[in-house]
Amino acid sequence: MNNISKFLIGVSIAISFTACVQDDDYSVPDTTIKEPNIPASSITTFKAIVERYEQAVNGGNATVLIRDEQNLYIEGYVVSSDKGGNFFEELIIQNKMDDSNPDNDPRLGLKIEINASSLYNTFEVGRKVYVKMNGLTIGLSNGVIAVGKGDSNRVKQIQASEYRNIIKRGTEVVTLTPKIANIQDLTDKDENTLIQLNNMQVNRFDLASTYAGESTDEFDGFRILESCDNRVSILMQTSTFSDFKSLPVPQGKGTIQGIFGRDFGDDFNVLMINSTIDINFDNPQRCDPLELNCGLAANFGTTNLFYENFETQVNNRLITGNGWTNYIEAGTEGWEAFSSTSSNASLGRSARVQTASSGDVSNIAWLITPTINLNGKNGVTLRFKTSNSLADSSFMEVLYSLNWDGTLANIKSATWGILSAAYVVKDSDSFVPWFNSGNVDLSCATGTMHIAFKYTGSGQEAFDGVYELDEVSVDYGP
Amino acid sequence: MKRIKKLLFFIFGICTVLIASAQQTIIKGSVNDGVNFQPIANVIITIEETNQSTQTNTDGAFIFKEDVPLGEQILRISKEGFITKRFPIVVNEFKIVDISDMTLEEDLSESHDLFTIMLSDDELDDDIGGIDNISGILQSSLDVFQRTAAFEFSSSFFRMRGLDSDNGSVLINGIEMNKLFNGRPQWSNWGGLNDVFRNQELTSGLTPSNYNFGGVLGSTNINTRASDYRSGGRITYSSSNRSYTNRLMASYASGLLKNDWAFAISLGRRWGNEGYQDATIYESNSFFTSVEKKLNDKHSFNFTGIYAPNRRGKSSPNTQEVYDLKGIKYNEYWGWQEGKKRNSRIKDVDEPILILSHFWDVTKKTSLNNTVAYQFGKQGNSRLDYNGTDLVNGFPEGGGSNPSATYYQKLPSYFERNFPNDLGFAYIAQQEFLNKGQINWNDLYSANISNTVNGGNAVYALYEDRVDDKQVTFNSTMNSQINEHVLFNGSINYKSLKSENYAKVLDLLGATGYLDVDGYANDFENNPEAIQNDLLNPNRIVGVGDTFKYNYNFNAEVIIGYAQLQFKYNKIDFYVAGSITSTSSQREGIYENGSFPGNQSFGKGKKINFLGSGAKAGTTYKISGKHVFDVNVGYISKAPSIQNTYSNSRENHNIVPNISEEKITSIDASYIFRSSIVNAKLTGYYTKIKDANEISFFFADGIGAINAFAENEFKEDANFVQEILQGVEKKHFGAELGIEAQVTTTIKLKGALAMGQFTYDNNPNLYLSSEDFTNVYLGKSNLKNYKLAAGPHTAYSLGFEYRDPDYWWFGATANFFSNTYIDISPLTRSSNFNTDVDGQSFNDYDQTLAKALLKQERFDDYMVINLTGGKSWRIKDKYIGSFVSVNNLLDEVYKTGGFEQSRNANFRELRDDKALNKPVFGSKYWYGRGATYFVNVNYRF
Repeated sequence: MNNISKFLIGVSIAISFTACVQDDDYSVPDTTIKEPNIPASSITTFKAIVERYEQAVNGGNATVLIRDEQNLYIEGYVVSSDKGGNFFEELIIQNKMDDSNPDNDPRLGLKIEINASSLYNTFEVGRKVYVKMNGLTIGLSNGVIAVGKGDSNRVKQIQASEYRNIIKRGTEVVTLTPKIANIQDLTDKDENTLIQLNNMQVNRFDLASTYAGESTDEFDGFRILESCDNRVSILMQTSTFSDFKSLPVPQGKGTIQGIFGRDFGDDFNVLMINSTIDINFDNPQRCDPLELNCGLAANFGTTNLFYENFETQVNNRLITGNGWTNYIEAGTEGWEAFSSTSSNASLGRSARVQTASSGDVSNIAWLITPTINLNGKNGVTLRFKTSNSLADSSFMEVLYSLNWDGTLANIKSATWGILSAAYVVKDSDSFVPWFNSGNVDLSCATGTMHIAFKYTGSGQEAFDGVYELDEVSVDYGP
Repeated sequence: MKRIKKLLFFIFGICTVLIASAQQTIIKGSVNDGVNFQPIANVIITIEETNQSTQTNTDGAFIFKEDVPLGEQILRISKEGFITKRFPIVVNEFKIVDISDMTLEEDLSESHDLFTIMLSDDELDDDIGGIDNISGILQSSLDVFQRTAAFEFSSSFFRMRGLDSDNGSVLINGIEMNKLFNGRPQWSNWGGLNDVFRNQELTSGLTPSNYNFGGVLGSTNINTRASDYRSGGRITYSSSNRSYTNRLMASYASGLLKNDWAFAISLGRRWGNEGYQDATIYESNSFFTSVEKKLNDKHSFNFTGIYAPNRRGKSSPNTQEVYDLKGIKYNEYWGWQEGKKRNSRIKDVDEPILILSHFWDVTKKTSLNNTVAYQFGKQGNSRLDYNGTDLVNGFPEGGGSNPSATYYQKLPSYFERNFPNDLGFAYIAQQEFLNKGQINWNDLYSANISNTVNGGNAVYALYEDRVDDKQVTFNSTMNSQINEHVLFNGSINYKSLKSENYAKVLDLLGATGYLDVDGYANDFENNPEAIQNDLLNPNRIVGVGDTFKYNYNFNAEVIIGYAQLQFKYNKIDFYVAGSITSTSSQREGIYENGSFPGNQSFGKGKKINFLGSGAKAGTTYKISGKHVFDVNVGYISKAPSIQNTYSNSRENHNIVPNISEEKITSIDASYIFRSSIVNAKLTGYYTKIKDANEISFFFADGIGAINAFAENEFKEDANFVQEILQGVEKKHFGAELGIEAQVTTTIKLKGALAMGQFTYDNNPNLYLSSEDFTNVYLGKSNLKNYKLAAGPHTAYSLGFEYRDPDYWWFGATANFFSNTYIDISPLTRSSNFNTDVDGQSFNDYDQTLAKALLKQERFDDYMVINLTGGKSWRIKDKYIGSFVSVNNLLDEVYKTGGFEQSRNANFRELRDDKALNKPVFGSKYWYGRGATYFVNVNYRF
């Protein structure tokens, strides 16, 4: 028993040894943020930053390095999120939390290039941030103004180990109010900012697609967003690395908010969403145009009903005669004749709409054929050729009406549908060639028809493309 | 010679030698403990000249009656844990030599014991490289080579004969403790209970065990029968900087009391905030109790309970780039949280064992031992998930970034590759890694909290992969001495396992929920449901303590029958043994995985049956007491482990294609030499393994060729894959030498040598699977003649021991290791390596360069010096012992193992990566520890 008591003593020593091991009882660390102490005098405006860049460009430089001796900060709000993977290694900030736009500090956005992922873990949408500009370079990156490290040629990424010292978080997290805009009114001042478009839908030809999960999508998927108000469209750009790339695009119409910017190659405007929650197309009543689509015929008709090659027209004058109705719905420009032998050549003499430098806020121009009587004719077809030049976001449609009475006053009130089988030159097509429409079959319609070539654009830079038309022919039989 | 004998006699004590007349020549006697004079059982008594041997019974008595040699003889009495003694006797014909009350002194250095423990403590348990597979089978024994391997080679992850530890069987009271999942024993289950785990019987190689058929590395039976412990107690305190900092153990055994009860208990605690590697916390408590009631001379019941919960922080293998910057103690798995080091990868083993045994001496010659054991509990391995998402319009968005500071995109090598003209970036990355270089827990919390404030879920979560096993084992072993020469051993054994496998949320790091979907499943167009981890509960938000990700059971049953006959004669011993094993296993999906809906993953899968068998025979031929030959031959066919049966058990029921039993053929031959000074054993062995499988998981870049092989629409060049190597053949051959020389009474020289060659011996089939494709056959992987990553193929040790009569001793060894190889990636040795996405060879494929790229890395040779020393004091009948060891005295820096990252799976990727100064996906290594110490004091009463 003596031994047992000794043993028990030993055991109690062992038990009393309550040496703790660091394990398992970790308290939640203090993650509260303190407002960085940045004197107001060190804070400059986005406008001042952009002006420095513009000065550099005017001076023949591609970028500008901020090398002030005094600390120089900008303050803004995070508008992009890489949570859904549509933004990657970049943070987009704007200076306003809403659409206010005072002259001394106009509403602007900047892209910050950072070599780090999951930035939303630190910089969520609406977070106030202060960016220390000293040592950063301002330049153009994929068509929008960006800041980062860099050299005289380009902006480079801020490295993962540095960005936390450059971008400081404020305590404020605001609810952003996007600027509600019309597509045609958007300018480069709106780039890198949060824009809301109302009464929008995905173009009917893109409805069967996913955001960016199609085999034709490389790096980004582009889907046409169109306005139900005026059919003006913009491309929605979605990264093929986004989480939602494989989701089908929304089918209804409604509002969408996203960051306005340029595509990778700086060729056209795009809208980029942070998350599919940014799209609210829950109104099932789409605004698709009436369509006539009998497909394409194998051959065009043997007997001509109407033909126009514009050779008899006068250059730089509105198209007239031959039964044409030339109607300028908006603006000062209409369909007029031109001839050119440049690389963007006409076909002899051709028709075009050119709105650049017109100063017009909006241009809508119609060119309407005379009445085509379909009754009693077999195999009626339409052929024409189109070309364009710097189409930007302006566009051309080929429409038909079966109830227009031929008067200018009633053009807008008549029912116009789209001849969907016709190929019309697209924004992304080269400006050099002329594109055949194909033999557009009209045989599934009856009655009397007018065919209209309708241009929509404006005098504004982003919306002022040229569309060209030639060799319009309507045939039938046998 | 006479003088030596006298000297030996003098040193080893005086005992009574009675000589009496008899009908036959007999040697008999008894052995007692030199301190308390209690009889010692299971002492091996050997007549050196003829090598006849027997064991003492529970009264410490022994007898030789047959073929006793005449004249001057030497009796060697030995038992593990005691100092071996040799007694000279003179045997006359028809006389009885009665040499009673010989004494054995305990080997107070106990070094064998300490090392065995260190070994299981060290069990590096990383699931990635298979390094957990160090041969725990290295046990101390009386065999010189084995003992040296255990003492000196274990810290280099030396493997006996280059074989995995699943080739050795570990039993407690006849119950096999090797896990059915991977065939390996889980040493942590009884860590810290050294005092009560010292009654071990080891058979090495194919030599016969009395308990089971065993593997080609033999078997070890640990006996915890309460009456077999010597009465007394012990308190031990140890301090070390290896895995734990402190160890306290206390144990007491009663011996068989007058009321025919016996009990033994032991308690232990091992703990430390940090071992040799950074932030490797250690916390383990151990409880043991054994109670025996002897009903009568024939029947006795014993209950043993073992409970040793163990938590430890893991350490990471690292690339050379990381070691060069951070040193060999660096561990990527931890970060600071509120001033404490928090390790994200904790291994938590908590599996109590209950064993009830019935000992039945049916006759004087026949004993039956029936045992039932139940083991239950859990094993958990924690890690960080960084892909937490929120459901937006029915689809998950979000996810974080890899929080590891060694993630390849954060290291200088990545910037050197991508910005070779802007080395400033690499410099910044290097400074960042040098200054911080750990997980930033604050960032994880702040990301989670900010996402939660915005109505989202956790982006980061700490979870554990859990295995909750419940295993029942019945075992019945019979030993019958058929006659003086023939011993029969047989057993039947039944095991039934239910293993629950799932992931469990441990900590949401400031968030309140986690969306349980698989963000990596990306086949949304063909299968929008693929992201669901459980179609029965889609888009579930889980909280702390919830099960998520995967959930399935393995049910397995094993029935084993084994029989063995051992024949012992004067000049020759031999044995023959056979076994038959029926194994069945079945996966049962609790979750219905979105990528594998319906009966591909849910409910019970196909039941798989294997029939294994084994046969072995061997003989020991004793030319004389000095010269002995021993030869063993065996064939084992065994079921593949569960781990190597299912190709992706977390997600589906799929099994390895063309699976079959693994076949092992083994032969070894030894020559044993014993003289009064020198004791040596030389062994040659050859083992061939056939039809083995290996399954591994990794993220592979450059597997575009899969398109060509799978002929499907899979269009990605990178994916998380399961690599299935099927029909693997391996060849292990080599020689082992152990030698000891007692040059003076106090100085002993020791040497051991292991030279082997362990290679792949064929070009096995390679299949790849992922969520997008299943078991795509890539053809053969050209592995033949590549070396196996089995620790050093060559190791040798030289050393000495000085043992002062005044109870202190000192020893030193120099150990040399060479031919250690990296674990190669089979995928890069397959046709995927040179196949472009169109199924044709790369147009820039360069055979010579390819050969250089695929050359297997051989690690540098190295030498490690170890010192041991100790002293003990006897105070009346109590002992105080102390022991100190220093390992790697010279602080040698050496690689013990490593593996190629399979991420660069094809020629172009590998070429481009290896062309860099610092490869981005370089191999990952384990380094040995620098100089470490271990100090131990104990008090015995």
